[in-house]
Amino acid sequence: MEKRVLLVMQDGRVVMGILVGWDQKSNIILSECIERRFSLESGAVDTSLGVYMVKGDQICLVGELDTGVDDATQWSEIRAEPLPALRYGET
Amino acid sequence: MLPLSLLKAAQGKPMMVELKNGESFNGHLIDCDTFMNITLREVYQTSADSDRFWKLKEVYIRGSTIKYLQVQPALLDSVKEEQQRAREAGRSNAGGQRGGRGMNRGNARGRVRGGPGARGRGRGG
Amino acid sequence: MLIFSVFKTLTDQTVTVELKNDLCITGVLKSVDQYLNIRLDAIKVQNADQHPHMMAVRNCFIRGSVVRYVQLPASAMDTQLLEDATRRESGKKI
Repeated sequence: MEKRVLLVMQDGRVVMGILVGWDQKSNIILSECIERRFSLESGAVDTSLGVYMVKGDQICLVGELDTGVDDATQWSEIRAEPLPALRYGET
Repeated sequence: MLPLSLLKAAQGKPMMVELKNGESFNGHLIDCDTFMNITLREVYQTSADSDRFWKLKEVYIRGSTIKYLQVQPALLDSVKEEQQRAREAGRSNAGGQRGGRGMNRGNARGRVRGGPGARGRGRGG
Repeated sequence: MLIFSVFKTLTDQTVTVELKNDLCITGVLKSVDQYLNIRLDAIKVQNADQHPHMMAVRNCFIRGSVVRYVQLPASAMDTQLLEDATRRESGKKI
């Protein structure tokens, strides 16, 4: 019933967790959170974070995780630039 | 579960708050409101680059500056249990009134809501 | 409100959303709300090899405030209708 989701925050952080609650302002509660840090030097590293309540205005995107694909992926071997923080206006 | 119910239940409990500027605050939640303005006591403040620390007796944080807050996992279970108890109390009360007139049912519901709600507020103050 | 209505007519169409963190996500528009928050199904991230972060995500909710552009399917747009509606809308305010 409670689904595992992937959250992209406005500062670029990627956090996965079980969506246990939300409200009108899209504040959300995630339990069993794992932050996935990407880098080009080494593969992605997962860190356990516990229960998070993230403010709606910090959310960029929330996606439903396909746990089959996620579990089957060797994330520790995937190198990528971390997602950038939001950039407003022109450069 | 509503984020604000979790926050309310966290009163008196330890939590970590990170602000949009990257600073973080570790302390016990004293009070909160619907804007998520909060006061913490016995606080350890950490600078955004995590290399400076401060110890503060009490801080007030404006809700709009918060990025996220982290609470103890056990808190989720206690809120869930409380909500389950409230539901069961509501169900058994409604069952007792079954077949009664509409007015009575309305009163029964009123009492159920008043019960746990009033207790919750008591703890907060 | 006009743009909200336009998006509502585009449900079940394929759109590409560019976010303010430079991610480009293509997917089927499932719903939109008054804040122009968007739900997409069957999503694909452009340059997936450089952006593997969302590999295991099939559908998502995007906060309206982080959207930079939405690429719309030209075939689903009636620009004449849109121009007329825009005039009507601006006329209302005067």
